[in-house]
Amino acid sequence: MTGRQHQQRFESLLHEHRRIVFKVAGLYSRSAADRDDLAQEISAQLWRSFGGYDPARAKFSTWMYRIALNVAISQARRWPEADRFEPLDAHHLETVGGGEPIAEQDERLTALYAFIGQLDPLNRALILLYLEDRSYTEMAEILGLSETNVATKISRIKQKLREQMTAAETAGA
Amino acid sequence: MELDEMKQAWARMDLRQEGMEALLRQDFRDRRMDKARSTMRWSLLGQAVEIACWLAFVVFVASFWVEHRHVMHLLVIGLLLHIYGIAGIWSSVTQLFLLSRIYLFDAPVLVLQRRLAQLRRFRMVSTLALGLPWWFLWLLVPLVVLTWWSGVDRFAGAAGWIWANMGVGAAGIALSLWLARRLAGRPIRSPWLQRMVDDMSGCTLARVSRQLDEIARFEHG
Repeated sequence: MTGRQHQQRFESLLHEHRRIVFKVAGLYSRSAADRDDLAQEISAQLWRSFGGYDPARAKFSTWMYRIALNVAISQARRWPEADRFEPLDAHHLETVGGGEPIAEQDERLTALYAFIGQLDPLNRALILLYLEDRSYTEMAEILGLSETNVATKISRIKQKLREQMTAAETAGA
Repeated sequence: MELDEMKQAWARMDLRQEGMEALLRQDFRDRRMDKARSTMRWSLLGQAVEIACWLAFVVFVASFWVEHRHVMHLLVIGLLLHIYGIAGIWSSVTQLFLLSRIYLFDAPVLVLQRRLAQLRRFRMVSTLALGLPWWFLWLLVPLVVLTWWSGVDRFAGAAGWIWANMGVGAAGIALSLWLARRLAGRPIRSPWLQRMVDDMSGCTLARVSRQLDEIARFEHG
């Protein structure tokens, strides 16, 4: 395969799975500028690593999630700790949508973002994969956990969310 | 509200991606991607050049102390520099090995994050271990080079002056560490200086330890 063909194949795969880059960049950024930088950094790392991608070892989406999350988490760790876990807000709803405001914000999404904003980078990765409807097997492959561990963690996150929603409803009543 | 309901909301979310998509395509048009690849190659090449420099340093000091093995102080200084050079080679080779394990960034998230934290910790410790001795080496290395080049023992006539400078060096190390602790946590404009302060004050080590703990908790919790 020539260099040009190699690049075309990469661009085509990147285009096919571009949502992964946008979603990860949106969840791990603090501003719209951050999000664009992170999306560029993720795609640059994907391109750097593409020569080593072996379809026999992992699906392209699994490989892409690993790289995107690794880049995003590493970048988040470079921020000052005080800035790192800022609650996600309306701005993040826009950023995941690609920079344009979402006309009618779904209350559930707002609540979801408020919840995700409290999570550390690793749990944020876990919930992203869950929301993206990845199987427990794929989540385990991406994160490097056992399937049982993934199931336990998802169940804990669900429980935590349930408790928070109940507390919020009680406070609102 | 349950997480499953949120999953449905997430799936229905409108994705207006044109802006970001154009951004990614622009990167290819501007050849930024090729630049990113060559930057990584240069960084690995830089590490290889560093190892070559350390090897040259060790060969030089080995030839120096072998040549002056009958003069006790030159033998001791030569041997100390030899040990320092070997530590430099070990540090560079280990960093190259640790870099090669993260090079592709495609390992499972927990594995790669742990490797990154280990690399950061190793870099920090080795930079300090190899950097602080320069409070002494700035004088010893030039004198060794001068002695080797001129064939005259430059240490013999200046023992008192050299010892005095060694004392200043020891005080310099203590002062650097004290100053770093005083400056820790304060905003510093220069990123380079900020990193140095964080390394010397133990902030980096504490941060990396917290990251490793966080990974372990996530893995086993």
